[in-house]
Amino acid sequence: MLKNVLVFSLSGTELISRANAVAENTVLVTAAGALTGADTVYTYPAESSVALQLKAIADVAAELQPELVLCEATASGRLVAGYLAALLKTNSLPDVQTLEITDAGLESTRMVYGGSFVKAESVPYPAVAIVGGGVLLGDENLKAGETKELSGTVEGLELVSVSESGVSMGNLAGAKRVVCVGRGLGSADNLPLVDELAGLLDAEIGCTRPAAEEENWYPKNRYIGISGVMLKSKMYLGLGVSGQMQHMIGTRSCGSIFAVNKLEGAAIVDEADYTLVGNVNTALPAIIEKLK
Amino acid sequence: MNILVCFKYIYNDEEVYVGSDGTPDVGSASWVVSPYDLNATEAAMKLAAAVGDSNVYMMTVAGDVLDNSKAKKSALSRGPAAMYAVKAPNALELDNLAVASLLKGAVEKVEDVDLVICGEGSGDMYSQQLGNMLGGMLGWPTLNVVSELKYEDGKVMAVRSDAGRTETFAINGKAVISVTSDISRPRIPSMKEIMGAGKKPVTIWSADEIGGLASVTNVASVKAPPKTERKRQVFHEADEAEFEEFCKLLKSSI
Repeated sequence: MLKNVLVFSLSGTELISRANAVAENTVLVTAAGALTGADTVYTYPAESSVALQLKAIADVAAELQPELVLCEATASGRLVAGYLAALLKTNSLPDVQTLEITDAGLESTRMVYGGSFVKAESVPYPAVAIVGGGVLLGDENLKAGETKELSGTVEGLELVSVSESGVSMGNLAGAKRVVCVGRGLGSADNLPLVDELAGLLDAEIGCTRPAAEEENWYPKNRYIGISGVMLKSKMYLGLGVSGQMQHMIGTRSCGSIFAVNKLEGAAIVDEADYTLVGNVNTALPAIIEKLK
Repeated sequence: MNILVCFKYIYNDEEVYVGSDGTPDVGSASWVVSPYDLNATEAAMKLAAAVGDSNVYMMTVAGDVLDNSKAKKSALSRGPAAMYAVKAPNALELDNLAVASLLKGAVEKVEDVDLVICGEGSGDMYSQQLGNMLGGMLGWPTLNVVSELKYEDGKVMAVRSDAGRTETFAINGKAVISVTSDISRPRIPSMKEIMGAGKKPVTIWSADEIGGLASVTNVASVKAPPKTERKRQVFHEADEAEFEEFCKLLKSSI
């Protein structure tokens, strides 16, 4: 049993449940109104930014001296993880695929070299890990503890404005079926057809990194692959997806892989169960007709 | 303003193969500047131009690649005026704790550094942690996932985009900033810039000289994962029966 575990999480009870299972005393740092469930919950104002709370969180950690810090696999989780790892003089284990919490320390695996290899590594306590959804699944184990407020500031850093895009986050990581848009879709004019097809298939819509970052067809939190969402869906349909390794790595755990691509020699053909070779402009409406 | 861009020399990932024992074969791989660090370099150059009267320097922890003049040119041909490096023979085996502590020591040796800019992650390990750790070690304001840097009313403004939330910060003083790859497109250096880069000053310290912390990570293995076998069936849109069959299979997945 560990003595003190600190968790940073803004959504989901997976990390705090596991922390409660392995530690005598747990501390959760989260945004106000987001989560509870630890012996002590520190909340910072939702309108603030985690970047302004780093020193305050570091103060909490310095007093607590946790053996283990678990951070969610989001940009904010990674920021807290790195900052606290420096304080605790350890190396944070980033975006682990598996994590064993042992008496001696952490053992983890994660993908490296764009997903071509899996690295197995371990660190002694104190240790920090960045953990995505599904890695530490288990029984919900929450405590009713006391809540304290954090109101951190950082000298020289001023939060000028905050905006929420209002774009639905959806639940790509947990979706049963996914339609994925690649740059081969050709034109934003086809996006309404993608919506229609996804509706017929009861699927969430994801995309490749270029479709998000270069074409701006979808927000960045929708891209699938090594630096984005890792799917666990039963079905994946790639529309105009070339099949680059960095993307396909995110589909490795999918059930059936379907693809529509104009090139029979595209990389995705080797990575798919069923590929329709054709022109997405004509195939997309034709598929929709068949599914209706 | 003095801006330091931290970067990593990695093996060109297109030349890293799966060896017969499943481990990475880097025997024929050439050295490149990690691609995301080129985005960071261009972002630094643009910011320096906007601020005016500024300097951009490169900084790395690396091994024998520091003796390679082509590698030096590839780091310095995109605008930065000079390079600082900590030479550690086993650089690629060091964990982020060790690398960040060497960078901290090196940053403190360079006079009047205002901003440290890092890429979002390295092209090989992609931990997305180094900038955050360096910020923690230096005790400086630290931001990650910054997708825009600009200069307004005498202040550096950083736009941080995390999922659906966008935060804009004004930075007044020192900071460590990790930028996303969409912040800028790396420039393609001209032949003149490449030649000129060879003449730019490089300061190299040994890791022993800097000190720094030891790695705490034990790497058990790095191996290619087993491949998921797929059916690889191909259907043609032009063939009506094949198209029909594809749609039937798709429908059965619902």
